[in-house]
Amino acid sequence: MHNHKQMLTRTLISLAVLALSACASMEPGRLTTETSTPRLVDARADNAAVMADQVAGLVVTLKIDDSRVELADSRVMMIPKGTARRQEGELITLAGLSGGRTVTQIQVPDQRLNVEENKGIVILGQRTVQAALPLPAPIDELQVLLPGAEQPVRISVGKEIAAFCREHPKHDLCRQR
Amino acid sequence: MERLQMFLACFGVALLTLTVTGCATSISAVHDPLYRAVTHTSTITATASNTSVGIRRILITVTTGEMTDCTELGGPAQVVPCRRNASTVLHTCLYGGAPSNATCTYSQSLGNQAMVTYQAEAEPVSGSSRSTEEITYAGGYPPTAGILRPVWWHRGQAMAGKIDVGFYPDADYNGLYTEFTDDMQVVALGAFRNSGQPFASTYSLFRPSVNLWAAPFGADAQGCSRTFNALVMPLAAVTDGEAIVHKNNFRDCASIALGGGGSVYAKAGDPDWIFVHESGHFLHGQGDEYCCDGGYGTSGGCANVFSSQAACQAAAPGHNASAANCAQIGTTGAWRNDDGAAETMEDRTDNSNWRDDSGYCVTQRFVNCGNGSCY
Repeated sequence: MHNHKQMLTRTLISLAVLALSACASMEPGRLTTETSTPRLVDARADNAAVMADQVAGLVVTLKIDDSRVELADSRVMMIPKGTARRQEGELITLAGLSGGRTVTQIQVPDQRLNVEENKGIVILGQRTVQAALPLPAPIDELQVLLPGAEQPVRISVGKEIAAFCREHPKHDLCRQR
Repeated sequence: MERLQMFLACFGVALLTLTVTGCATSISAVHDPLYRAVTHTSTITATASNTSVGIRRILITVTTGEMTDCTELGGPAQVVPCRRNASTVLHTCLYGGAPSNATCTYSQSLGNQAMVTYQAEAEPVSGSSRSTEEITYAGGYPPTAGILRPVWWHRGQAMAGKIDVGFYPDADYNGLYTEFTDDMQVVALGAFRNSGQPFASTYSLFRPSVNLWAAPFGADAQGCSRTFNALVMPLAAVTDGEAIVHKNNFRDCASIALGGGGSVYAKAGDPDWIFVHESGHFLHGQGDEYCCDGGYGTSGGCANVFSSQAACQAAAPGHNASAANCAQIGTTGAWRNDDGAAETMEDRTDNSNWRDDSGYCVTQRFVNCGNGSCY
């Protein structure tokens, strides 16, 4: 029994010495560096993940003055796929309509409620809001519903889609027209 | 003698345990400067650690090419950039002597319209290798097209699962873009790569859930008014938060929203803290908790300021906070949870942190990112 204990102890001490010898050094270590020659990257492969995350979208600036809404700027571009499911806070609902039928819709935060440091809450009657509306299909009208409003505002955006399709007639969005 | 043997045996077991459990390899990497819109030398620094067996090798994979608006690929212009004429190099640092801490740097001169992606991998003397996340950034004079300029971008991952923060130079920089990028670097590093200071610890922890972007000139903030011209409007439409960095002194203002805009005074002594505080408003819908503002408010379903003691107490259990800590903000009629420690929505100090209600709400936002949609 005593021999067995001694053997166990010796084994553990040996393992401890082994562990100590395997320990990392606190010294900086000898450093050698090497840089490979540059290898060219295929552009399509390089950009594949980025391109896969983009869809055609209508980007807009809305100029809001209390209940009045004006389209200050708009154009069709490729935008990141939005899967935001905004359901909280003061939200503006934007819908893209084609022949009066809703084909796309998003909600974006209103910028009405503000806080100025050491002053407090500032309610902006006049404000601008930027939004990017994905376009799975062409639209002819943008419908904007402000928080608390009963009636939406409808704005024609057919010319923005037309301008985009004149430039990119083969784009999926334009082939659906 | 037997006691000594027992001590040595126990020491051996403890050491073995330490050796096995301490085997974890850690690695982080950062580029410097984060973003500069002139030709410059950019350095990527990877730092690895393994205190038990030591580091054998660090490998940095770097892909550098020309940033574009993607039109060269035959499609319409994008807000998010593409890259062309890219090439990859592997930079290897080999260590003799198995150091417990190792640093590997790779420097290159960035010409105009450059976009760089890097990832670092640490290989210990024995055991599994560890890699950093893949990060993309821009450098040099940018393309004229209005595209987002990556500062800290998880390029291979969907943007919906990230909080995208855009830094917009205010018109008061008067064309001095390098001054803006220098100021932005202070804000970004101080807020997102600063685990050592409490106010930045949450953003530093959740940095993998954040993309940082720089915008060209085109934004203007004054008081609570914020405008974006035609060049930067599409960028503001796709970023979750728009931080307008300004150099003239005025009271900062932010929307209280789950995604919106705010201003950050870059020349204050603590612009990184200001950004974190303001982003509490415009990214997380949190209200000020200090006394005594002219009105208090929050946005969304996760609040840190309440209209009554009862509402504060009702929210506390769900926010991992103590209902007993609900306190009125002065005599304003607004209520908050106050555990006595410095709180970022109340106290302008680097020792502050998001605590109780705001701590829960901000963390929950990042948890949502992990589920594929931050908002």
